[in-house]
Amino acid sequence: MHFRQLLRRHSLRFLAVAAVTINAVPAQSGESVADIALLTASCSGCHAKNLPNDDFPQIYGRPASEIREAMLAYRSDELSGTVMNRIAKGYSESEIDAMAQYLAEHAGPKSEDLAN
Amino acid sequence: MSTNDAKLNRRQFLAATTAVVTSASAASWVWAASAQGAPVKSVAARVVVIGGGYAGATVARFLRAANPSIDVTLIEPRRTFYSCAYSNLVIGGLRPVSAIRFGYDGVAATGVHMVFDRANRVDPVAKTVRTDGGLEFSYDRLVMAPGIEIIWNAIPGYDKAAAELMPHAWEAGPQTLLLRKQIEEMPNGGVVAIAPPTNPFRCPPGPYERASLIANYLQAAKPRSKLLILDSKEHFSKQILFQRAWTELYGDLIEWHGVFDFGPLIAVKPTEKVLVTESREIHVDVANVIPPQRAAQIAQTTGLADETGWCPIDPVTFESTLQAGIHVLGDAAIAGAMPKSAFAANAQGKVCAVQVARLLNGEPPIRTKLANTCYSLIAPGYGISIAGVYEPGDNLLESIKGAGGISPIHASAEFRRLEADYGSSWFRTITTQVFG
Ligand SMILES: Cc1cc2nc3c(=O)[nH]c(=O)nc-3n(C[C@H](O)[C@H](O)[C@H](O)COP(=O)(O)OP(=O)(O)OC[C@H]3O[C@@H](n4cnc5c(N)ncnc54)[C@H](O)[C@@H]3O)c2cc1C
Repeated sequence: MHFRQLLRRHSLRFLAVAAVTINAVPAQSGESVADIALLTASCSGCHAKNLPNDDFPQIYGRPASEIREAMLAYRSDELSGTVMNRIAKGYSESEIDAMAQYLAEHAGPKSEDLAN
Repeated sequence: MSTNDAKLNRRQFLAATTAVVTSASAASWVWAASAQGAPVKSVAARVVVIGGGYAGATVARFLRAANPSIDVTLIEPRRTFYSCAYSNLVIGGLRPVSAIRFGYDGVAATGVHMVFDRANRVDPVAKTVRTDGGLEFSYDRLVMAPGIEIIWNAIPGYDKAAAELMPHAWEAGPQTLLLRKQIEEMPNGGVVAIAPPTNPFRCPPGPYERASLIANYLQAAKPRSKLLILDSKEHFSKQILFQRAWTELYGDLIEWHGVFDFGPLIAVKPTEKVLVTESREIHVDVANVIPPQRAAQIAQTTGLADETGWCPIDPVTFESTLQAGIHVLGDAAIAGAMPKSAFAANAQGKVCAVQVARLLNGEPPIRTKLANTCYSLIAPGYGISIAGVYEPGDNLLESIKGAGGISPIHASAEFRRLEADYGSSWFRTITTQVFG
């Protein structure tokens, strides 16, 4: 099933069931929030915070467990998307953990963010 | 303390962060990325950006988000930006030209000083930029994002005058409309030729997306016509996906000739509409010559380009390896495995904004990964993509093995439809982010 359909139909609930709640722990020792923020820079090429439409799933403010499980499932091809399977394979599990945590904590009213 | 700060301080893994952020409108990831450790100093550092395309407009507004105390000036000669990305849809008649036209009000609203003028001289020692209009700007760091220039006469006979008869349409705007007009005026049964260059060039899948969408138009409007691709290469981007789709959708309307068939294009005769390859002269009705390119002129005269015509950079900071204090982004740069795409230019702009803000603040740059996704539309409802994830290697950005690649060769119609939708969503999203 595709991620978008999946989001629409299940709001990622079935992924969340399997997900473990991640406590706020940095991904790797030495990795700062600045590093992680920068790692998410390319995500917003499509999943921008200020989306002009709802064509791409909103990732900012989504529970970290959902993002993490989705990314890991794409990475292992358990979940088939279109391009996300190819992109997820470029990141380590600890990077995915850290990015998920970061994105989850950076929601905010659309008007507050000019660039995302 | 702003609300953002309060939120940040609640986060367990951010206990050490003490940055003061003054703008509630700062993009959160940029803000966090520049807020590590030391408080942001209140020095009004000056950054000048040359070129308001995908790379330059992105870096300018994200610099403002990274640190609102930075004084950012964006120099761009044109008040209207025509996007090359999606211009093939205009050529194919699927979108009006207004769909690729953007202004700079959104960029200016972020506090970027817009200067509509052409930069004509950079002094890397004095750290100044001069413009055609006689203005002079001092900078602490300069970002060079001027895109490409066509190398006139690289194909003998193909000069500026020839481009009015045989459009390249590789810089969007009047050239896009000229090619569209010629195709519209061509009689049924005519021949359109596209002559793509060797690598590297702006948008590797671009010529083939263009061929697809012209074929889509011809099939409906002028079905006896033919589309020839006279390639200077042996292979091209997403080749297997394009060729299978062409056969499936357009039968034998599109004919691709690799360089091994007729040899490279060695001359043009614009008034006769003749393309001369090594082995034959081909008379066509519409000729779209996509000539060799290099980093735009201002990058050349500033001494940023090497013998390849493109600008070598440090893959972490995008700082030129030839001129200190100048960062090069987008199509002008040698970004290793990262292609010359709008997606890549935007991702580089965001990363570079943070690195420049950090360097100005005396903080070390951060090694990171960047991603790219390029969609191509083959017909309405039929899209394909190529993606990659990149990290700094010994001296360039390298592809991470096992990641990225092209859409599956065997995929459902639904998959192709989704990728067509995602392509158009990406275009709306990116242009809103950069120009909106
Ligand atoms: C047909 C076609 C289709 C494409 N499709 C896609 C696609 O689907 N997806 C994708 O990701 N990419 C696509 N691309 C590629 C994309 O358009 C480029 O990679 C992108 O525009 C590069 O951004 P840039 O900022 O480096 O250059 P540009 O966007 O070209 O911007 C450069 C700017 O610098 C300005 N400039 C130049 N010289 C000076 C000077 N001396 N002083 C001041 N300003 C100056 C120019 O006026 C221009 O506005 C396509 C390209 C083409 C040709």
